[in-house]
Amino acid sequence: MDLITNLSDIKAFDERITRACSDIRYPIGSILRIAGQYLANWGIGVTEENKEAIEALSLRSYQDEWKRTTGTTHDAIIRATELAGFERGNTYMNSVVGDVAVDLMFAMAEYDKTRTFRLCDIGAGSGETTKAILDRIEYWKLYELMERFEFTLIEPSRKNLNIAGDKIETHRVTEQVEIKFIPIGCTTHKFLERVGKGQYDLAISSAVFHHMSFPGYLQPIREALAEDGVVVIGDWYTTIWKYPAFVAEVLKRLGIGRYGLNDFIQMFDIREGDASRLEKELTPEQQETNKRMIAYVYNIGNEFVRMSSRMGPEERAEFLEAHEAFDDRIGKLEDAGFVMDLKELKDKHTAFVNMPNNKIRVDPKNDAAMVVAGAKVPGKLRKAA
Amino acid sequence: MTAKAKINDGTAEFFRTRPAVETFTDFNDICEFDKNTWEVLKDLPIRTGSLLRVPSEYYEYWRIRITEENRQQLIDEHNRFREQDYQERERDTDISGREKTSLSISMRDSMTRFMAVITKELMQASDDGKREFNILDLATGAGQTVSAIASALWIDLTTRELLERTSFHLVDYSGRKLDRAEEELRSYGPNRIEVYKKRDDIFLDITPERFDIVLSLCHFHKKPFLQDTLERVYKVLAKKGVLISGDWHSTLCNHPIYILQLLERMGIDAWRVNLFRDLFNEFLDPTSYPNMSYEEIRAVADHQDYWAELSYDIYADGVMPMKSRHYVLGAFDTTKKRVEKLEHVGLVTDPDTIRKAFKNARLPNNPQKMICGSDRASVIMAMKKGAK
Repeated sequence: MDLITNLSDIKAFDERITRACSDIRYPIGSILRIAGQYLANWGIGVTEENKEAIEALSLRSYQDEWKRTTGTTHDAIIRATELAGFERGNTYMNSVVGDVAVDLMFAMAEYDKTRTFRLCDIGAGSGETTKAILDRIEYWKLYELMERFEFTLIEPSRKNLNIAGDKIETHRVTEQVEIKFIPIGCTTHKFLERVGKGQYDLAISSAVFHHMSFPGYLQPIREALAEDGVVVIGDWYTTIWKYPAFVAEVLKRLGIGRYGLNDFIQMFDIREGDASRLEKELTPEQQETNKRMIAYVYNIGNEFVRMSSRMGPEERAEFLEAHEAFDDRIGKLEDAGFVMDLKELKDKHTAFVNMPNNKIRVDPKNDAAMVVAGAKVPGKLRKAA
Repeated sequence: MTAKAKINDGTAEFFRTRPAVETFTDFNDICEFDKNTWEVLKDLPIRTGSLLRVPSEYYEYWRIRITEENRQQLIDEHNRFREQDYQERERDTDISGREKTSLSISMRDSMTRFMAVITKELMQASDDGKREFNILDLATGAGQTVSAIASALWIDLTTRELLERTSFHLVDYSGRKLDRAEEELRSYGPNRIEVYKKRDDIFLDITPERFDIVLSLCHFHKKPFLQDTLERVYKVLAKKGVLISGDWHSTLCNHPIYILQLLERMGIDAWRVNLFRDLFNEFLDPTSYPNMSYEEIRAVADHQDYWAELSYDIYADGVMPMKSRHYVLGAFDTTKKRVEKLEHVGLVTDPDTIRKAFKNARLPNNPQKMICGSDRASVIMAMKKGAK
């Protein structure tokens, strides 16, 4: 199929997809929400001329959704997460991000006992990732470490930021040490546009970057880090949106009508057996992940229907997101200048010397939730002047 | 006749031949009195529930006196309510869903995190490379605690092999939740998973197994006769076995004065509040309850905040608020009281003694309170020193 590159044509194509899927219980959302590197599989060509506009449209789609969705939407998603078996994914991911972050914090603090550090939690939500760090600090009684760290939480929702503040201020750790906490109420994009160079020593994030279709956010994060800064990212990974043939299976589970499905199949020239054939390219863990994602999306659709007396159609979230294969994300991090190879990190960055594993699978049976740690540049840690 | 008048007439009839300061000992009188208290919040989404839900050691504050004759009857009656409550929650999952706030979920997750690390540390400290471990999880639910433990062991490459020598025993009322818990746990490759669709006390009475670790997350506060359960737990603990309990604590349900305060905070109709006062009149004297520490006072306030906010949310929702049904009363106690109960059955909670027994384990404070300045949530380790 020839790729569409003209922006008007792309928008029209996107609208056609949305129309074909208009009767499903969980809205599809804009195709531009998916990971940018997969758009070619959907017939959309990303060029130097259209990339910025496509990225802006993608971002707007997410922001519009976040404005529309409510606590009821969130309740539906939580319940569907339980039914699909992902219920503890975010909790475990936060725990692992917290554990890895504390290990790195400890190593950096031990290396230079006079240095103070700044940590930023990007897309902090209600502060669960930072709380996981505080839990570990309290368990191991690393109170002196806390005295040398300052936490900045970046989160667009004021309500979430207030809840995060409550969690931090009432944490048991505060009986021993004051926690230096800076809330920043803005989106990740706005924060990354404005953050200065070398501001932070550690950047953490959990379940955020699968909303970013293009990797442009990684460069500003890298620049915001000190020369020996480190990054810990927990996120969800799947290839379910990579091919239209995979999404056709999702649409069937969501109850798409015959005409809509035919239209979708024709748009992308999907043949019988395409999904199975493409699935064979995946590892067993990736296949398992995709199965669970389909169950997850199906259950959310059902919850939206079940809760339709409590929520209007505009409150329904959209299922297409920028999930990608884990290897794709590693590639993006490396392209942005992060070192992600553990051997290289151990050789060149003191904080990683004792780290047994920097790419951690949270669930043994699938690749859905992964935590990865890397560094801005290989090099010795900077001692305070 | 209005509902209010009907209720008042019923209560008046009940008390017509009884002094206002009577403590009830006859089982039928207790049940009758209990039913009268339900009238206070009848038809509202948030209700007290049966008085038998409060800790049994405080029944007297609620005009109930335990005797040898009525004890088992009270236990059976409470269990009947628990089962009914449980079935209702299974049928309508919105009940539990509504009661989970962002903060309560977060605190549960933190307690689970601590319990997982404690378990891992105890196992590592007592491992000789060959021995097997037996872990029991009471009121497993969907297996949050055991999954967190399995995850902690699995993610650490140095402890992954321990899973192959660990057997998990899961006990819960709900077959559906046990199935999910088992399925999730299986993915970590433990030695064995046994599931028991039973009430915990029944399982504890009949199991021939002995356990190195017994877990309980947010469960013991539902047991008004907790001492009985703890004696059963003691029996099934192996030598040097450890009970790890993460739970909610407060004195909200220990004395009717705190519930009266809550009713007033929730803005309940004056006639209902007055009915409550009439039911407990002189029992509402706050000086009758022992002094509390600042942390314990904070815990009651936090607990009242929780219910007041839940009440507000239900009414603010505007959609069929009367469909909700939530019970306030439970067997919450203070952390201090819980430690006393554990020690009373012969378990050791002194942290230095536990650390000596598990020399290489890095263990937190014991009890480990989770919230600054409040007794609201804590994780407690209790070790069995030797054979009883």
